[in-house]
Amino acid sequence: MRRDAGTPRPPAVRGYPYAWLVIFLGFMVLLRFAPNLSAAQALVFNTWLIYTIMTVGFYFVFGVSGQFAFSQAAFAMVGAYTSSWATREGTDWLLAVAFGVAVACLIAFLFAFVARKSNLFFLAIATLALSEIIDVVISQWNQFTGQIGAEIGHIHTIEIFGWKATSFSYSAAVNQRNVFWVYLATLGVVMLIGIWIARSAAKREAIAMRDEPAVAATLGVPTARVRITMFILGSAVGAFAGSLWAHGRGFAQPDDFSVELALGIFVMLIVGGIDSLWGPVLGAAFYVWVPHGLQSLHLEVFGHQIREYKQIIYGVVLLVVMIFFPEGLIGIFHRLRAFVQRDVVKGRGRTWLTDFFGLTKPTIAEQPIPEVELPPLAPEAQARAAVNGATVEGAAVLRAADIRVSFGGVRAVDGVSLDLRDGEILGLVGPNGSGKTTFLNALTGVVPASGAFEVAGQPVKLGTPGRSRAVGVLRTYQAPQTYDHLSCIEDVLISTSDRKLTGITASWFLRPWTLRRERVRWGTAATALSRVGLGPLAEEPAGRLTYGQRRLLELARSIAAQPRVLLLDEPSAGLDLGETQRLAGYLRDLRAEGVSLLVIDHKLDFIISLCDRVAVMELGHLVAVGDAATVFEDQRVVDAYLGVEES
Amino acid sequence: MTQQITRETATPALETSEPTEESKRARWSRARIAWTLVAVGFIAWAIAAFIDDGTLFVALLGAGIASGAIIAIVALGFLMIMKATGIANFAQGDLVTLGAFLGFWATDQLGLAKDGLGLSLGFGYLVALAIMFVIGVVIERVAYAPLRGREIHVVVIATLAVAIVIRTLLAIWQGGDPRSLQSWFNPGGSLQNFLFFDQGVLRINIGFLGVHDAVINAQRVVIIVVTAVVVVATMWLFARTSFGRQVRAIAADRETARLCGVKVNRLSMLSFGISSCLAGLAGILIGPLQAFDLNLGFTFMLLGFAAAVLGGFGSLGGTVLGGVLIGLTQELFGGQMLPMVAGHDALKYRSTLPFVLMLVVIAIKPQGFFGRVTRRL
Repeated sequence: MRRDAGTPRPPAVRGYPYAWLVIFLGFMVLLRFAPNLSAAQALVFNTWLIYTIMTVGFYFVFGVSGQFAFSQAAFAMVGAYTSSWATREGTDWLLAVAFGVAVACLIAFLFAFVARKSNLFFLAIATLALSEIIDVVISQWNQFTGQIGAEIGHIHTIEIFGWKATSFSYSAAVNQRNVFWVYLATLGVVMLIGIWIARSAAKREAIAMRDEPAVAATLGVPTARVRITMFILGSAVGAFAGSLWAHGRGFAQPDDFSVELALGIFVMLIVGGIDSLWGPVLGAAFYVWVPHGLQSLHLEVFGHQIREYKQIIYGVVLLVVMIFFPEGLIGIFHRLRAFVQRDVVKGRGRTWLTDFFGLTKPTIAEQPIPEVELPPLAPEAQARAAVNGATVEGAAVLRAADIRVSFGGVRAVDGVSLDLRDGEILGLVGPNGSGKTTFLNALTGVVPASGAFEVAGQPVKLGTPGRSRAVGVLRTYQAPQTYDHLSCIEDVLISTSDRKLTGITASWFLRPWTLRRERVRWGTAATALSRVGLGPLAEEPAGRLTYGQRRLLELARSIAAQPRVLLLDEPSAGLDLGETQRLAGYLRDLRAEGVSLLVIDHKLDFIISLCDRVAVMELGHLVAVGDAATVFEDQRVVDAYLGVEES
Repeated sequence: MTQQITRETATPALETSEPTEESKRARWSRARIAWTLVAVGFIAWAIAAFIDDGTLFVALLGAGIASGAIIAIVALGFLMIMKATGIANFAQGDLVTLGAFLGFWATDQLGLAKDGLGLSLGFGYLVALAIMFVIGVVIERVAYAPLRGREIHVVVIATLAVAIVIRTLLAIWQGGDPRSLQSWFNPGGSLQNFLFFDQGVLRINIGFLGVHDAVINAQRVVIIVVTAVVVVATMWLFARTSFGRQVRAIAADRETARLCGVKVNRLSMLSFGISSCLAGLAGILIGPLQAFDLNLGFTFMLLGFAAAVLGGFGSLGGTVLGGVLIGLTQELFGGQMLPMVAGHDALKYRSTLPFVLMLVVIAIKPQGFFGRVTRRL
């Protein structure tokens, strides 16, 4: 049964994750009930499920949004103890769980807000600190836990709308079996949430935030919000799992939620595979079943039972897995798929089966997209072009006054005032180290700066990345800043000016509308890519592009954002003559559509042929502004470039 | 040539958010006033505590500085590996435990240790430290070298695996019973009445301030002195030797350093060795003060990590300062100053204090006290 290349689908709505989820859940049921598991094994099975849920939460925190956190176990503890307290106070069971999750969310929010600027090891230690504080407070706060040492028993059991899932009067086997269904259903829901997030803009934006927060911010991603919501979501899932665990077992003790579990959850995610929602399932299986398997081995080595060494063997296996599968156990499946994929050439041999297993390369975006026919640029941009013409004397769209940036004692930019007129290309040249890039960094908020900055009459606050994006100023970077973990088209999608329904909640409750928007955005991005000639590479990972192609990708990303002003930092660096000429063509087209451009470059012929005006910087000062021929005859400019002859 | 060259001046229509230098100074001074007030209040609080119970104050001061010194040693070990390899070694805590146990194994005279060597104190501890160095090198070969260049979290997992192996091997070899180390100043050691030390304790007598009998355990004095020596030596190592220069080069830019001929391999082995030695030293120093078991190192690892973070993962001085700050917070602030105002119940939550301090620091300075963001776009 062959299939033709069907309608192209945006990256976020490809594949058949729901079918996979159903298959997975069915498989888990088979695994649980097909072999006759002993009571001990049933217990381990349930632990596997609950750890998986916790780790999926951690996947949102660390895998998707890159926050090096060790707080998952502590949030599980908060959930467990808060909901047990609430049930002891007489609250309904489900309400109590919700209350526990809410309290965890509150703590997570406060923490994430306080630590929103910390990264890597700083965040790691901050979360470890938070875990220790939570652990000590709960262990010592006897009035809250109702027990000295916080080892509480007789926690209200799970009861869902009259169905008593667990009870102290049931036998252990019955409890284990019923709890299995509760845990599995919860896991299904949590996985569904994960799938929804992956099938929306939220995951892509979180990855952009994770890999390069400052760049993501200048592209318009609300980085702080993405970061904090992801942390809260992950912690809430952890708290939910924790409180289910406590109620499912009927008891809780601080040791269950120790730092050991926090590190364990970290291990589970990494061993399973950090880049995949299915990674936690494999990782938790490894974490739970390997020690259990070793425990039940009856082998004698050097007069010792081998299970005495189970921890050592476990540690060694962990080491070996990390050495051979650095991408985690899920990497086995990925390698397998890559192996099979070699035989399935795009278009040929494509069946519904290869589609299902994700073996077929996605249809590239270059093909015309029937239902979406977008003009090359936003209508309002074109309107601007029509009203203002190519250049209008004096009307400045971007005004920077007295911009100053210092690094320690060095004044990198020392009082630069520069206007960019509506619909012009302004060249900014100067020797290396004269402060051109720093000036751009100052305007886009990447470095702290002082002075006044105004775009189309609107004042813009300096020092915060993203403010300039909000008024339509886009930029490219001296070293191209593209996202290696995203495909080109996704990279372009990051900068979209249409940010409606890109949040997490929208991805859950407003799916049809989210998807419709996503298709439109996809069309815009594909057009932008085609404009710079990268259409055929749309589905390639951005990391595989050459240096020059990355520059063009950055340009496409800026175009897709429908900018009013474009700041380009050495766009021609690394391009050959033909590519440079094509680039000049793209830039002229943009000007014709009403975009004003500021271009920093060292290729003077490129600048002279392209720009309406040229500004020259030296040692942090603006030396001259004017039309190219005049500026380059000015003695100060000659001195700045060639140096002053000593006499 | 229609256009005139103009020296660009600020457009008058645009309002500048004005004299940057002065407004900056004004804002800074406001912050400074606030900080000064906080500091003055804190010192006043400390003085009140001193007047309230001088004996306790001095004892806790000594304990705080000593415990801070141990934390600083652990943190220096962290820093060493961090600089040379760019990763955090999560086995550091179990290396502290291992050091203490190796010291016990080498010097135990009572036959409690399995296969004990029964060496004299000084020699035994030196043997333990030498073994620690070798173990550090082995860890580098087994757990780090195959993973070099991989992502940080993968290496972190490898160090966690090493921690598990060390801990389990120790449990099988020496068992989990509480142990204690000998010191020269404890009963049973050799230098019992050394100089002004009396029965293993230093007595401080400042009569006119009402401090009559403040007691600082001599082992704590030893800890402080040894730490001072170690810190100076490490600073010398980093600043003056070829090893230090190369490590700094690697810390700044791995690839370039390698291309310039820095032997990255040998350097990372060396730094793992030294770091492991430092961890062992911390274990041996703390051993005589408390009974310890397999969990000895974990808290020290957390606190050492915290100290390194306070120092911004770069400055040695900052790290030591961070360590002492943490030690003082735990002992002096938590032991005396806080209960003065919050009542005796506050003692229960005392162990959270260093971590509260951490969170406060992270909130104010997201990259630590001496940290800098150097990434250029």
